Amino acid sequence: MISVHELTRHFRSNGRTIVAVDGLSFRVNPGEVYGLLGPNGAGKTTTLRMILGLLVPTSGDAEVNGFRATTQPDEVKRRIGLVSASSGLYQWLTPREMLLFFADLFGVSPARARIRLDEMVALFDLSRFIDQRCATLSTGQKQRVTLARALMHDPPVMLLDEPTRGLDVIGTHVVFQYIEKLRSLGKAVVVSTHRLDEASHVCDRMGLLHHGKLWHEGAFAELQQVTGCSNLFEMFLKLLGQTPESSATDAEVIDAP
Amino acid sequence: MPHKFEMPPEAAIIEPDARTVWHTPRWWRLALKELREILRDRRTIITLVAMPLLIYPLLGVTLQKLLMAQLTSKSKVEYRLAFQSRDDQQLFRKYFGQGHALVSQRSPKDGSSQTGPQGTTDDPFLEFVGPEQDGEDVDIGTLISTGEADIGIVFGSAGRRSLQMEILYRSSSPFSNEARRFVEERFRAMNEDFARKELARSNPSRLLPFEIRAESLTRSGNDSAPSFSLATLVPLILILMTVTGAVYPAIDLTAGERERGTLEALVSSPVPRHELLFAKYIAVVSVAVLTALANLLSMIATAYASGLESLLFGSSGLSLRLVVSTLVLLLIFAAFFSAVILVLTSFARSFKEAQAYLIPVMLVSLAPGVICLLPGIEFNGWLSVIPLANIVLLARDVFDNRVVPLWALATLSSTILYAAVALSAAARIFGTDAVLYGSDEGWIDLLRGPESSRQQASLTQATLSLAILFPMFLILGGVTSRITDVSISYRLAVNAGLTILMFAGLPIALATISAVNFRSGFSIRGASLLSFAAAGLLGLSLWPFAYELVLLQTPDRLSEFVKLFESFKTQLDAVPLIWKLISLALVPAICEELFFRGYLQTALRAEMSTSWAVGLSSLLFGLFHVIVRDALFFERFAPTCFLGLILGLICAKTGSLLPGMLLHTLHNGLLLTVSSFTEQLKTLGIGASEQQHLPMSWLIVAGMVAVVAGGLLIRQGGRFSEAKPAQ
Repeated sequence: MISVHELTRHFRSNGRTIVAVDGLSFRVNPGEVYGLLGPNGAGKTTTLRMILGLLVPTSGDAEVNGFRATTQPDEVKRRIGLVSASSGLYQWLTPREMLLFFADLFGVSPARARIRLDEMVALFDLSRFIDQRCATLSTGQKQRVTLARALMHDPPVMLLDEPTRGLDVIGTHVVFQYIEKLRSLGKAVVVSTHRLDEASHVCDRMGLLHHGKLWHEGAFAELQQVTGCSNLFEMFLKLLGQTPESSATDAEVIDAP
Repeated sequence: MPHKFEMPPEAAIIEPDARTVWHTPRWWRLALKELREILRDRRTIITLVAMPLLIYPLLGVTLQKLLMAQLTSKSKVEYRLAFQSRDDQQLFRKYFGQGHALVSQRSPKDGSSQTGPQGTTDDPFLEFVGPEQDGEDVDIGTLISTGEADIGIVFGSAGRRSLQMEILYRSSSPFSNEARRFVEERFRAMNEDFARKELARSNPSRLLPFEIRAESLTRSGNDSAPSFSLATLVPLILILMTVTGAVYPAIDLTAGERERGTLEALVSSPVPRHELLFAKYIAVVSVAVLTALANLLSMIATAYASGLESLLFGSSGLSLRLVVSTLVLLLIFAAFFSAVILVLTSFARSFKEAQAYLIPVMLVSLAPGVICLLPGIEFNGWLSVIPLANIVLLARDVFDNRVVPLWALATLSSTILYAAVALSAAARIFGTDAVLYGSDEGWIDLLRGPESSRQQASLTQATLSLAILFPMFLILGGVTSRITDVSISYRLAVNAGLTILMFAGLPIALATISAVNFRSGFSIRGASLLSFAAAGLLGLSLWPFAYELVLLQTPDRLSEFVKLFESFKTQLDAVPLIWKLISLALVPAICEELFFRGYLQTALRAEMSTSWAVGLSSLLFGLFHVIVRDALFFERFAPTCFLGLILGLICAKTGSLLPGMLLHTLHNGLLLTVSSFTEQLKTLGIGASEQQHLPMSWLIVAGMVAVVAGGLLIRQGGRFSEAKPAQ
């Protein structure tokens, strides 16, 4: 389970302070898929990185299964599986070696890792290329290895950062199936995306993020009710129109202290 | 920590007996994975195997060709001699051989070039130009002026028992002049020899006024080679090849990982970043050492095959000792250089960026290496702490078989220290969000001091302090020993000033920069009166044991040590005791306590058990005292270590630096006072500065006092650790 309390992150750039995430609070229960939606630069990825403990929040905290990201980052990391569109594979290792390596990193015992590997091979149909060097795999095969890698240590929480970016129809479909599988396994899942069509497809609840702030939150039907819009696209256009400085700037700029 | 939502823990999911554990430490498994990845990479194989296999045979062949060309070009000198008749040619042949033998005897050449087809290999060939058949006449003047011959020789009779020899040459041509000088010298030698023999025969008592003899000597061992030698180049080549081996894996495992998108997944795992980096470091060092080994083997094979061993591996040729010490040096160099390049490549976000950082660094680091190849550069304090230069120089000395232990020790320890500092810097940079996501702010975080104050210095800061202090100590120590034209009091003052600067100033400055709380970071707290009393008693009673510990070791070396200080001691006798006590007892005691027990031991105690921290700090305390001016005195190691252990234990027990300062001051002061009153003690039959043992009664009394003091400390130990300011 994930709970985020008043999460805030400032960045300094050229002597000015930029608020990337501003007082964000939400909660994701086991077996629930939460969509973190927003245009580029809304603060989705920064939020995920703070939940993961890779970035230290300026204030506020994120909690994963009762462990705080700021005080016990290793306990938090142990319980999270990360899928990121930008993640790659070790070119000179085979999927088997790579998956076992990551199991080891996450403290999975060798025997348990072998069992998990067999499960992942079955789940993602990796058997044909499990002992082939990663560099020789096709894009689809690589994607399946990446998805399997995040699940090797059987984490209760999954963070998916733009999981469909750069994927074709088949690739996107695999991700959708993956999310369904995570839900059925009882994982608490956060999916960040700017592709609104797919969000309404897979997410149980979603938060509309803009300028680091959470504007609306709820299931799709609730959002429709609150905003009076029939689809996410309209909701976003309305949201963009609401903000005072809907200029090209991605984040709100405040004066440097 | 309570789980709000319970997922079964991983261990519970599987059968207990199906669980297995790893038998190797995790960092080693991580390093093996990195090595597996790197060694599968074809680019590694190229630097590791193909380069050494190709380069050395190629270099060997080139070198051989070069040497052959040099040899043959020397024997190519050829003088063409023109004769008027074949009779003249025969006359010349008859006498030239005798004259040449005389000249050769007069100035013996090196053994290497004794014989050749035409005398020595350095000697020119002689080619005769002239009539092919008897009776044929040739105009030798024309032959010379047209350049068909270099000189011409004409014999004529000049009296009853003498022949006249006329040499024709072109005075404008240096070559023709040289040929004339060459021939003339040999015939004059015959004349001189004849005259000498005649003189000796007519009147044996009368000889020529001068007997001239030239003797050629080779330069002796402890002098640098007169000219550039190939043996000095070999260490540099090996070092460069080691660098080549380390660079690719270092980039690939850090910047490469970032570029391929595997870094984020890696740092998202619950493994500390410094452990991830350490595994990478082990992998990089391994590849560098493997490269070094491959290069060394290929070099040896080439040298052996082409017979260039003595040329490449110094005067004593190739030996197992040389190979092993070269490998050790390369290992230490690889450990250092890998750490340095990991700092740079950890900064980089891509392969290209990493290369852009590395190329200037490699070029800059080449400079000291090349400078050290210049003949006549001697190892000294400065050079022994300059990275890379010190390794090149040490390697050169290993090849020349003239290693100076102090500089070897200084080189090895400074290199290891630098490696440790670089490694901790790399661990701090690797995988930070600044590198991972390229945020500007991250960089400031790396440089910015901590916002909240720390209780004690971190291990990194402690290592850094050692890395700064050690070279400083070596260099400044050398400087003071060179100040000779000032009064002894002034020298003592300079010495005390430097001690304050190094052992107090440096840790205080570092603590200030990194916001370490001064009182807790240096363990400056009050202590009970009892602990001061115990420390005072130990200060009074320990010096006889320190003295005896020195005596227990080789006495011959001890006299050497005494001799070193003999002149210093006579000068010291002129200084008032109180000034000696301040500059040689009080100041060093306080400053050394501040650094070793205060800054260092307190930092170590936060990272390891108290016994390890005390052991390590007293080991370092002992090592610093081994270096005396420009020499190493290992005899000082045991007593200083022993003192360091006791001081460390007292500091740990009482939680305060102050009792140790008292002990240290008393201990130093007593040793000084005893040596000041040597004469008085001698009249009492106690030779304090000679190699005599102290009376047994002294030792027994001192031992009893020490035991009492120790007992006091141990009994009060529990109370001391909660030390409150002394009343």
